[in-house]
Amino acid sequence: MISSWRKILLGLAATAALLAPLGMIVRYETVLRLGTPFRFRARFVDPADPFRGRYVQLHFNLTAPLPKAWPYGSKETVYARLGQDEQGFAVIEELSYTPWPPSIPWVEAQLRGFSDYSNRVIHVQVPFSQFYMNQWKAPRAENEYRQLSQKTSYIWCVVRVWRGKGVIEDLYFEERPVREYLEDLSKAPTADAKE
Amino acid sequence: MGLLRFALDTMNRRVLEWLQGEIQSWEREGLLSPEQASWLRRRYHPGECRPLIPLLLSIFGGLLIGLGVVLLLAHNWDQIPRWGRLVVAYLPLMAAIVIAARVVVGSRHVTVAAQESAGLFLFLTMGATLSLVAQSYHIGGSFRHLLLLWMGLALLTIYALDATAPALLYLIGITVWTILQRSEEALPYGYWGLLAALLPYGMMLIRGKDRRAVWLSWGLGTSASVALGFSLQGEGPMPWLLGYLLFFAILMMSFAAPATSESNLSLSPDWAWPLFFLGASGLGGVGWMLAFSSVWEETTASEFWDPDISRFDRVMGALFLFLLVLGAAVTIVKVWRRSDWPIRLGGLFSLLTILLVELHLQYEAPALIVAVVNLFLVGWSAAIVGGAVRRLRTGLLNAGLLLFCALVAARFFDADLSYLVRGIVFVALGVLFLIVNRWMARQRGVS
Repeated sequence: MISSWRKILLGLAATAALLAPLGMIVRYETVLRLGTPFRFRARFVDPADPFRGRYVQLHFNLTAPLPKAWPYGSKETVYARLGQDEQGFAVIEELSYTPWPPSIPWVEAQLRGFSDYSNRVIHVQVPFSQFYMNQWKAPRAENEYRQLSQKTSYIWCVVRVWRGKGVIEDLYFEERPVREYLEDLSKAPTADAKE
Repeated sequence: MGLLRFALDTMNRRVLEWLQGEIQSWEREGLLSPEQASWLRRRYHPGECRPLIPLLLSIFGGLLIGLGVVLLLAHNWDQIPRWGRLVVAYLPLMAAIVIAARVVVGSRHVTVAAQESAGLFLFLTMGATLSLVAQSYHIGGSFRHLLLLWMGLALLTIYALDATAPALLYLIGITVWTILQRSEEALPYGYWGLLAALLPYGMMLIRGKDRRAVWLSWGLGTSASVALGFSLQGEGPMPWLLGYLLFFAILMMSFAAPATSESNLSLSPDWAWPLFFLGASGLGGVGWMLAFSSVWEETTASEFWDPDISRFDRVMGALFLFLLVLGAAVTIVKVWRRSDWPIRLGGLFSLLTILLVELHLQYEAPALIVAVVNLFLVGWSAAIVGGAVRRLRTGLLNAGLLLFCALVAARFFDADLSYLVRGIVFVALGVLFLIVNRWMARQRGVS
């Protein structure tokens, strides 16, 4: 009797363990295939997660004008309608309490406090802020970022957005995917070799 | 600890084998009836004593393999395309499921070591697979969301494989989740539901007289003690101190050995000892903190709860305290008849403190209240020492003396007395400790 319910429980545990990651795969693969691509300007640092490995933590510096009669509350969930600036980078056009229709590109986000003293512009944090990289490449990417960020602000990531969810497709350094950029860099002759 | 237990197990086995021979001769000599002999043989069978080392080694092996898989996947093999990595993510999980199925379905004579190592491997590979999928899609979000999903999946594994090592990891996981929830200003109360979901497993171990119940008791008691602090939020220290005081009092009263004429603590079942120990030592520690006047001076009616927390948090904090007061009151009534005075006074102290807090909030008289707390604690330590002397229990005696000395020491640091006076009193306390322990050792020798 005990043995039979343990078999049932193991069956349930195994099914749940197999289905939970599968559900994540289906959800995020759908976003990657059907989502609208947006380029987000990024700054980053390189931390580590005990289970998921090394990643670069992306900061997007997204702000939005606060609508009138907005009740103040930090870390409140909002729905941000996305648009593009003159250079083709993502900006938040409008915030809403309720989700936008599926035809409009929008993401679920969190409010993170006012960005100026007039209390009219607010910082917004989007949930796609981690770009996982190989253990050895993430610190190199951060080093390169430090040098590049002084010369140019064109470090960005492409995010696919679909029905409120966003999935990072790739991170770009000087218009090239970061992996390619780092590989080219390691192949290039060093300054000492040139001399 | 493991080696010590192994040595004890080996010794026990030898003693039990000797006892089997003795029972046979007692039966032959007519000292025991055949029924009595058969009952004693069953009760003290050497087979009941399982060696611990193979079990620990199996758990260690399962843990190493599982952690190795986690680290291999965390390396992030970016040369492999996404779909390839997802397939790789599923391989260890499927291997772990097959091994677990062989343990549960395959053999009739499954060892505890096999259950534990298979359970640990499955537990860790569940986390590794979720992590690799999250890594492949750069799924941000915080670690706490991943942890919650993982612990939810792992719960069934514990029951299916009857494995305690994953249950201990589950307790660590839900405790860390609670801390992360509070640190990110999210609600931590789901912890208590997650903890309750593990209690039937603990009951199963206790009913089956499984010694792994002792491990689980340590885990449950420690985890709940940590999580309680993250379920209460106050401006000053009082909500935490009250919550812990009542919680520890409930643990101590509920899991103390019943007081009979020849009672001693070893009469309580093995699994109850960790909970009793946590309760009694926690109650003494929190009581000692309440004996400082600064704690009461920082407590005012307007600043009892943190003014920045939400109304929901405030209601939940009040609800927790109400349930703990109710729990302590019900427990003291329930155990009063079977308990002795050290236990009764400990329970009464927790309820008395509630009254003192109420009085303090009304009249703000910290000096008087601190005096009452100190007097009560001195009385409690005297009752513990008295009980220990009556039963010749050295551990209990030292616990009572420790509480008394801690109170005296704290008051001496509070008061502005000369080093000479403090020095003399400390020497006197040390001498008292030694004399009473020596006297106790002699009495035990005589008895």
